[in-house]
Amino acid sequence: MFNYPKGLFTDVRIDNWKESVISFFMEELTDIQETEQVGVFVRVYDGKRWYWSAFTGKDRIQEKIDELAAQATPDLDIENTPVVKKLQANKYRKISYQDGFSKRSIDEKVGFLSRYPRTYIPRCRLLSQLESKLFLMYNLREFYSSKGAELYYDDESFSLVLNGTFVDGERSYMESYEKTGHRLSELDESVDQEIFRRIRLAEEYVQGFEKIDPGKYEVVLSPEMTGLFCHESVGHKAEADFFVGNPVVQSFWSSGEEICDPSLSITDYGAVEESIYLPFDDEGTKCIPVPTVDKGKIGSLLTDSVTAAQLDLPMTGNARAMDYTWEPMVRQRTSLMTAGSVEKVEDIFAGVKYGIFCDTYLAGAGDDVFSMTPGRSYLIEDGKITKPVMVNLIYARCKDCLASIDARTVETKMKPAYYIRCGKPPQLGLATADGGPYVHIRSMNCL
Amino acid sequence: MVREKIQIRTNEYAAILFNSKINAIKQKDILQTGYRVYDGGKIGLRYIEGDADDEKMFKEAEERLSLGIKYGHQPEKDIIRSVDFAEGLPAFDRKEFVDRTEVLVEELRKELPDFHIANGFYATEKEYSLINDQGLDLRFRDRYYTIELILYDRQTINIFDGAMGFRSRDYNPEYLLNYSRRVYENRRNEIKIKDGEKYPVIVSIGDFNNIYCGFVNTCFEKELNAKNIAEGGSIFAGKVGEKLFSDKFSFTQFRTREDSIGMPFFDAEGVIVEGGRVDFIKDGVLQQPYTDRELSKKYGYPLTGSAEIVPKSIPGLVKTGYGGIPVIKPDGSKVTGKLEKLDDLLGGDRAVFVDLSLGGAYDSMGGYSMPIQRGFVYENGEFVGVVKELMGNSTIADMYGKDYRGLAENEFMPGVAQDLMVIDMKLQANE
Repeated sequence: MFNYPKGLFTDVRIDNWKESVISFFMEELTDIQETEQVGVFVRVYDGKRWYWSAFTGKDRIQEKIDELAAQATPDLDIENTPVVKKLQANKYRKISYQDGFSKRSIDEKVGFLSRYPRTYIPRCRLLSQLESKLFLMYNLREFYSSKGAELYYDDESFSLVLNGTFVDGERSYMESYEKTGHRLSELDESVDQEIFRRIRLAEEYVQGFEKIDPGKYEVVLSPEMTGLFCHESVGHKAEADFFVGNPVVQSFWSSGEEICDPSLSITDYGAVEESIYLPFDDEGTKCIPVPTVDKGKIGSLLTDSVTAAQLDLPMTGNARAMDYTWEPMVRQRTSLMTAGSVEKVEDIFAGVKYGIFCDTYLAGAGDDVFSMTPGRSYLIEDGKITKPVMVNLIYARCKDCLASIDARTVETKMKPAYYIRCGKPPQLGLATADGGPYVHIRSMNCL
Repeated sequence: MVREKIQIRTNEYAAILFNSKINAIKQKDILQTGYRVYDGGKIGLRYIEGDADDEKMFKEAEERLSLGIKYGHQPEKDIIRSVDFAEGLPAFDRKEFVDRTEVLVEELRKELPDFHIANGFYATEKEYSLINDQGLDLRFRDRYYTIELILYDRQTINIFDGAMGFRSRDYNPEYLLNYSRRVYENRRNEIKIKDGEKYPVIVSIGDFNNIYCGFVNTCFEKELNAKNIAEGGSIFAGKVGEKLFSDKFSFTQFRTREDSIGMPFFDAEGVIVEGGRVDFIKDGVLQQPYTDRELSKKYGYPLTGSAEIVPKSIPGLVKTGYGGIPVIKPDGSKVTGKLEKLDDLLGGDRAVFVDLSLGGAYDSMGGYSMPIQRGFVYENGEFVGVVKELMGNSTIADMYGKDYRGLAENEFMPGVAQDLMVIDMKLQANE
């Protein structure tokens, strides 16, 4: 297919990308973004250094390979270098979405979204602004390497996003709702029911929320918040690039150490059909599930080829790039916490004397002290939710927080997030997914 | 019918670091083109990345007029202007760039052997053009260097431990050495500060040290938006003309060569603000919100030319991309004011210099929190030690108001949008 230069490893990632983003402000169509591009990222490796090129158009691939190769120093034993030995040569071909979004006219796409503002705006009393967006994304991925990889498969996803700003006097609050999936038929009645429920909660919330007094609180997290917790606390902690050259981290986050309830596991998955579907990563590695917390113990690390080679770890399929203009780096995929044994969340509330229930989130940041910005939250007093509260930030140390999880519900939910994305420098916008049960945390700092 | 083409070409050449060594050389060549057709108060748009057949794309944009997207403003006409901020700069030499970076990285590695340094050194050339068939022809070019480094301390359990960076038209990576020698000198001398006390916090106005959702100054995107001010979604609603903050605090949008980099002199609608400067907050007084043509007309605020250039989007302020990562907006805006000497602002007080803040939040009641991942203790002109993770807590009203000491020139890491704010803030240990 390509003339791969001798003594060098080469791979070619091609994204045949089509995207429509339709936006309404209130009931008016305000924007349609239609993107269609053939984006290419070529990598050449000489055993010491990578040479990367990002550009558009398949017709320039060979020219770019040759241009990069001219900068490299060939190594005739390139196949035996640690990084190249780790890289896989998978072959896979599957087209699933030929009858998908791209077959629909732009009028149809606009029609799909227009019903949402039309349905909800007349029924909202305190809504001052409503942004409605529909993201329709299709990618035909091609991946080829000098080692023999040949991948050719497609994926299609939608994301419906409603951002409602509710105002009551001087108080304002933005409730954000996102529904993702692979087929528009998934936008069924249950979606409407959930949006109505969110509107009702947001209108009640904006009329009554009060700021909390900063301090340590018992905290109950919704499945959406638990997912963010998995991502920001454990997920980033398990990214192998942070372990390279850092013996302190290696010994602090050491596989097998008991850190929490033995029934608790957190796993980072790749090929989850109903989530962000990643059968292979952006280095062509087959995605495998990685238990980052395994039955109460520190589990495995998420890797790409460079970190797997440097730390002598297995390849997990976590090398991901934000888009064709970026290089793959170690990133999370779908991070899920296992269910517990508590039948209903109300049973968890019942055991809380004075605490906070965080139902939605606005943002989060991962580090050993990780932080999350809750959205709609409530005070729990003597086992019952009593009033809406505004919490600016909740934060804790990773291991302390994991150790203080003492109850989880049977019910779990997963939330793929195409709209609010993960930022890891320098790539600040990658879609990830996460989820889990309702959990009770004995103590967290709340502002 | 008016046809208009908006284009951005980005050429980038970069040296990427991993574990304190140059791990990769990257080049990027991206052409983004938006084709706009205006007719009868409506707009049709097509967008493509890469080369395209102009006639075909304009035809497809015309077809999209039937979707009925309103654009009730006349496109600009009869202006021909070309501005080249890169004029006079020495020619970019790839080999020299890599060689010089390699020497610098080696020195930095010796200077900070206890850190794993990652991310990159980027040389970027950007060209913008906005051209239509009624005589509008605006062209802009700039070339600059961006250094964004993340530091991972080999002796801590953290993920991120520090940041260094700047953006400048001159390539002076040696600033990094000065910064590491001066700021990181006593990095192993751990100092405990009084938990829950107010301290002067020294924080850069830009985002190099407040990366990865550093929320410093990102509140203005929401709070200064004309729609939010007019309709009650902003804490500044109904307060235009009022004194809200310290006399020393101003927030200004720049399109000048001196105060902005990579920002064209026109916005997405072709609006040119003569003088290249718009004050949103001046000497503590809220002057005006930021606007595009639509919001200016609808609410009667002055037109500020703040429509971000996104070729795939309908021209205007309408935000149609993904959410999540807060940024300082509108584009080209920054905190301004009289630059004072840092030591004069501190008056001998012990202060915490924010080397890296990570995450945080501001809320709809103006509450603000800033997790300080790595802070250095600064006292009497010296960096005397390091503090463990801290949480800064304030409100927008206080931090830019009564607790705002002023703005100091950043002598440790020069560059555009790098000045240092000094703000008294309650700091708590993250235990």
